[in-house]
Amino acid sequence: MTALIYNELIKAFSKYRTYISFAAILVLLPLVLWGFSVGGGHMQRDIEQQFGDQFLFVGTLVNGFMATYITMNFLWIHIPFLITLLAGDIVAGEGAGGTYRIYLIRPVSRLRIILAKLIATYLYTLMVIVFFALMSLGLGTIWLGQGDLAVVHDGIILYSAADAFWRFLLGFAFSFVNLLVVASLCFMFSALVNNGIGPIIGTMSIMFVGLAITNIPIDFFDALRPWSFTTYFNIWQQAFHDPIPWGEIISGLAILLGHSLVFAIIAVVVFNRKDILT
Amino acid sequence: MNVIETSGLSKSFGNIRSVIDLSLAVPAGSIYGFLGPNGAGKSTTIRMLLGLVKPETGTISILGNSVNRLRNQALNEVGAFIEDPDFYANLSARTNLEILGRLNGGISAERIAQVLTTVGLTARADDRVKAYSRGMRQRLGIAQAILGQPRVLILDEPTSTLDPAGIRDMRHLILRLAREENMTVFLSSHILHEVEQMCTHVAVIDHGRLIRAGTVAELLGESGKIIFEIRVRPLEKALSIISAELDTRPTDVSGDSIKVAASREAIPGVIRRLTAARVAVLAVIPRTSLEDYFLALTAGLTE
Ligand SMILES: Nc1ncnc2c1ncn2[C@@H]1O[C@H](COP(=O)(O)OP(=O)(O)OP(=O)(O)O)[C@@H](O)[C@H]1O
Ligand SMILES: [Mg+2]
Repeated sequence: MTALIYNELIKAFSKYRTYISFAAILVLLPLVLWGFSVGGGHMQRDIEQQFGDQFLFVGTLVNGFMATYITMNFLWIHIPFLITLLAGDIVAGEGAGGTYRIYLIRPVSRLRIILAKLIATYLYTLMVIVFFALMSLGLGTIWLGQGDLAVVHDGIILYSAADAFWRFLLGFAFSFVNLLVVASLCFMFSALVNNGIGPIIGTMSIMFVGLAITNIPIDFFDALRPWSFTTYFNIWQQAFHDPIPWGEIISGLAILLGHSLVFAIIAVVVFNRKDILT
Repeated sequence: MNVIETSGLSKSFGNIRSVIDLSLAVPAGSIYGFLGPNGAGKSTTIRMLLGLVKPETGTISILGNSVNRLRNQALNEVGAFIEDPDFYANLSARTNLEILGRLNGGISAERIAQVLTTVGLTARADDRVKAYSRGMRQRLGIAQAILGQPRVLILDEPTSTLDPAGIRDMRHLILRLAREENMTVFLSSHILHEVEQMCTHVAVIDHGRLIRAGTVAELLGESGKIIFEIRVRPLEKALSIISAELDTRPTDVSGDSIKVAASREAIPGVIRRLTAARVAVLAVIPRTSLEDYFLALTAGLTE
């Protein structure tokens, strides 16, 4: 199985699109951090003016933790798109490229091949989130330093650096589960068609509809909200609540993992039955 | 022993019945030509043999293993390619073979170098396949097929995209592999001449149905099935006499030549009639080629 997964990674990393995620993060995050380092003094004065009489700040609030927290808030909608670049292509791309004609005629079952593709997709998802963590939390704390993290949730909560750090690790872990759903959904579409673009469009469309349901406060959407997996996408933020609402988090994670499983099973079944005609 | 056996194989795509009740038996050691015009169902059949397409009805066994139930065992000793093979274009030929080799249970670097030499790609082995010509891709197709030293080679139109020199090389390569490595070869083609030259056995398929199967020698010599070319002057008079005498229409008429299917025994009578009617018989040539035979068969079916 490791040989099959290794194959998938070689094939994926022979395509330029696979690198786009890393390139985007590599360009975007230093830019954001640079913005914080330049505008940081200004922000610090604003914050102190507003809250200085209620809190005693130790050191600067504009630090690597704050930058990471704000970046995660803004980018948790963009990163899924990066994941679809690989997830959408990994099954359909070989159909479009005609390479199943040489790949699927060998003495390895389709089940093992599709599972290797699924695992490779999940590994890629993990690589992207780890790279994101390194470039935000890692580079951020080196560049902007550590300090307290202020989080707004039912008022302002201040976390010490040590506290903030493990909450971030937790937050990234939850984000990874988010991304698994997106990856699985896109992977399912990838198994259904023979082109690498359709699954990306399909996944992003569902994401947009889902996020509209999750975020637009109208009655009709209220009823649908629990049924849209996007509703559980903000689970990572709960790592920064105090106390951490474990009950809610675990049920949310279970729902996300359940969706991933269903999408993955559909992909596997479809792929196993599919006639290879390209 | 039969290396490949199918029975009652059928497959439709919507309304199109691509393969209908196809039963084949490919004997060990044969070079088996699978002959048919465009759209006859050759590729669909080969895709079913290799487990890419699921047959609606029928069974396939390769070396005694059912492709449906014991796919991995059945394909374990099979090397193949289907039409103009495609590869991972951004990777080199060598890397492509390494990737595919992992699915054959691990293939050594030496073996990869060896097959690259066999197909004459050693000098370009580390170039991206993207930069390969179609002929080179076709040869790489052979390389990946023989990678795992299979006992059975299944090739769909191995020469279809090659130039005359490439076709000759490819034929020699396949024949050499069959001989030296003791492989049974099943190859599809719409070039009759090719099958006639290379193959020991042939099956003719048209509109999804098997029309005839046997050894090439059998089919060529089948009585009453030989095409004769009769050169005569004047043509019109000869045409009516020949049609009446043989009770069949000519398969081809051009210039002073009439091609017609007839048994050997019928020919002397035809010549006698023609001379009696003062038609000059310039030549009677037995054209026992598979090409004419095949055209006669498929024409008879479409009309
Ligand atoms: N994916 C498909 N969808 C619909 N019809 C198909 C498909 N593949 C093949 N067919 C039909 O099945 C029939 C047989 O096609 P097939 O490709 O097996 O023929 P072939 O003998 O390989 O022809 P060629 O010499 O042109 O390669 C044709 O009528 C074709 O139109
Ligand atoms: Mg074909």
